[in-house]
Amino acid sequence: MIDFNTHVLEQFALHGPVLQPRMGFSDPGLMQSGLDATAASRANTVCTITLDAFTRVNNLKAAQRAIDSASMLNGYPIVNHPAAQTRAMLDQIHARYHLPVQIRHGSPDPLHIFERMVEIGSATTEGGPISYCLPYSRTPLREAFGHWEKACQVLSAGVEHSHIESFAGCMMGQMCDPVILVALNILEGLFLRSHGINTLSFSYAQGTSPVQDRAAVTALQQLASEYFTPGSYHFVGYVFMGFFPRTLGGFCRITGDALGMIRSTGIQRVIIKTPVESRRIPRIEENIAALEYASYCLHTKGVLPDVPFDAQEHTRILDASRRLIEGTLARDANLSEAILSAFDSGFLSIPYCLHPDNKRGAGTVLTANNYYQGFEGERVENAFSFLAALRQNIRTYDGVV
Amino acid sequence: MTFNKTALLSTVPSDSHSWNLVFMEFLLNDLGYKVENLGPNTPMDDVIARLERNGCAIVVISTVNGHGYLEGAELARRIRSETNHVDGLYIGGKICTENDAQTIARHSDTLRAAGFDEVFDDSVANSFDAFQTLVTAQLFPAHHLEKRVAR
Repeated sequence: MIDFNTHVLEQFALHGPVLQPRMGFSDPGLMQSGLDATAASRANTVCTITLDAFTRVNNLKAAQRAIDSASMLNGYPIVNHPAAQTRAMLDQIHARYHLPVQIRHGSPDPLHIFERMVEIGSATTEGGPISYCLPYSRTPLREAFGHWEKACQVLSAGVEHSHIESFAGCMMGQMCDPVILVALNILEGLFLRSHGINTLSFSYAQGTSPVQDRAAVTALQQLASEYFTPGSYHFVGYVFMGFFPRTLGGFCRITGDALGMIRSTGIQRVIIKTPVESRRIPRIEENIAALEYASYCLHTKGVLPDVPFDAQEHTRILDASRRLIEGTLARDANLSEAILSAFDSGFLSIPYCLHPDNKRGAGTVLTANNYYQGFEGERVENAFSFLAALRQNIRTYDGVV
Repeated sequence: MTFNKTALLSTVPSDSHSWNLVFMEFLLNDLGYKVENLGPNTPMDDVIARLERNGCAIVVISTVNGHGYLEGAELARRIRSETNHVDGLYIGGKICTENDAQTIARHSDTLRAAGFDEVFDDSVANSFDAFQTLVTAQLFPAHHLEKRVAR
């Protein structure tokens, strides 16, 4: 079985950033074609199986009803489809292309998914008890920690080279001060490592300014090097996860800014988006076109912007993230308890997150530089100024006047 | 003028998206509704239980994960058969995984037949303005009437 972290680090050293789609189809034939197309594309890729929402919330009956009635799901129902079939898919990608496949899910209680992964010999996935609970579920945070402890133990005991990517750099997808994203990555990474996961990746989603993003990723890299063994992790950058530009030009420009920031920081893996993202689930060929476009950007002179380094913003993010990490760890000798207590008291909180265990005190404003910055106190926005902030990147990149 | 109208805001059980719910909360608030936002991945039982406890002026189901055509229909049937809610029941966002007008029209018919008063899929057409007009009209019936007369 391929060691995902080693694979990404090696491929990055040889060819630059490894590119990855967010692909997932309910039909096994289509899923297999998607994996093949990703692997055979002209880009330096790793493959993805994204699971459907019914599997994510462990509603396997609903997933089965959809399969039986040939209704299209928004991803691959890995627990319902026969294990041997999925294993054969992964084996084929391994044999033909020597590429790993990451299982992407979004579950606050991933035990059923990780058990299936062990069964089919798949070692690489993503998430975490914070990043897959607070923004995407109503599972109590304490329960999610319990679920993830158990699931991590199952995965780490069941496969060689277990790898989990913390999704904490993408909390809510937008409108979050990077200070929180950076701190949560480290805290979630510490949790995953303490429950036996061999190697990690730390995520960061593009915001509204590549300059702020570069400052934030540099802070994340610095903190990761203080808490984790060199060579045991890598970084993954996401093209913007919020309200996405609608034009082809907007897609090209926002992807270019993300890749410029990724190149300037040395991020090793990139999750790309497609031009149809804002409207529907992309088809295989749309995924491949986006991967190859990103590859063209990375390997063609003069396409990507140079992103300047804002030392002041870097220091702000580094210092404030460190305060959040250290302040959380100091709360309890037990890491899970420390994090739970930090959320319970509001010391850690995620702006606009509706989860009952998240204190909704903090908000986010866009500064004059288009930086995200947290604020506490009275809500100043109305529905439409808030919507305008959510749509900032549509304005920036689609050039709507 | 004081309003005492509660809007129940929810989504379908498999849908984990939040921004649509956060925005809709702000919007309904700004329009004058008292909003109870049940948050992402709302279990149908929670919606039913909430409606059995107290009445709501409107129920707004906002969903964008593409499963609305499956779970939304079941939710509407349950609301109409298990609760006394006879007032406005709306669903909007992205109701299926496709964005061709024909598929959306077909699924919209199913959702209306299941009990929704109106379906606002905005993948193709901008149905959002229509939704806003509608909720405003329910809050300010006289005002809306005047506007219509003025036109």
